[in-house]
Amino acid sequence: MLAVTEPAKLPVHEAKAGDPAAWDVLFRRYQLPLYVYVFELVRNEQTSLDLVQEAFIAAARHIGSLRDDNRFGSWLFGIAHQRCIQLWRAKKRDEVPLEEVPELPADAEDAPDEVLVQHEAEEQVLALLERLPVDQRSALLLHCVEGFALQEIAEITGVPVGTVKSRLHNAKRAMRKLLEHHEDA
Amino acid sequence: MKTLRELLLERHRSAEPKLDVAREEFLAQLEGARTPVRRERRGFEHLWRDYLLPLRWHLAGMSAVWLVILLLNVDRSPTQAAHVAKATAPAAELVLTALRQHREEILELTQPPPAVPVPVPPRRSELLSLTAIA
Repeated sequence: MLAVTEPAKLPVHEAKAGDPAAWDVLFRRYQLPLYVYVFELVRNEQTSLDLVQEAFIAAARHIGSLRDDNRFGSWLFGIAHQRCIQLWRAKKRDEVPLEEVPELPADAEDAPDEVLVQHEAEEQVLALLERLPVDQRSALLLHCVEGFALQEIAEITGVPVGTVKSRLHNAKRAMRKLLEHHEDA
Repeated sequence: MKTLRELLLERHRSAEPKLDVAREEFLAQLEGARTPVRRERRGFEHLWRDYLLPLRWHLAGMSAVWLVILLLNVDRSPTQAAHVAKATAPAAELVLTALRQHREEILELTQPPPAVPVPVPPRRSELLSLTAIA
């Protein structure tokens, strides 16, 4: 599991009381990872900036409903994920309907590890990421960028854990294939 | 070797100044929601922006119409007034004459006719004296 977040140090409790300084800390902590996640899904800079801001506005409005302060990160990403889905529905983009992947049994794969990228293969990896189906891309980004657990990714994306595993498995398999091909070349 | 996280964060690092602006806007909104005075001021701004500003042309048009009505009713120069008086005087005189005639006719009709002396019957004592003489 990736150790990216430090939820214990985040002033979520203070943010619940409406403290702007606490929100400033939370925004600074999540602005770039959240932007990366949203951008890699919607592929538009201005829309991504708007969505990040909207996600925080919605978070500030509804933070009272957050039960576990340690889950602020996944809760925030869940809001942003929902905003992306709303945007897609509004635009009715054809490319977005997610590619159905067969669900793997829960023990079919161990927890996914990190994807390591060689300098020479960076551009190719980023290009492949763009070509991945949105559901796989979303799972891979949530896992790699923020290090969310499978259960958290399942909650963010609103699908069963088995589906998350399948998506991650397929995404990582595609990545590895590309990297192996690059090494062979 | 880089992790995918490092690669992606590095790739989007250039967006940080814009994200800082978005953060400042968000914090300003948050501060605005917390301060009642500011919220009240925003309320006036909201009233102006959402209700008065979109209707500015309607309001200007209505004001112009009222102004024209006011000018038509108020602005009478002395020459215009004299002209109006001159034009209306003969007509008024005619009407007045007709009214006078009408009044006289009414008075004539309602005037009581000259009093005709009613024959008074002779008194009983006079009648008795007359019969006695006879």
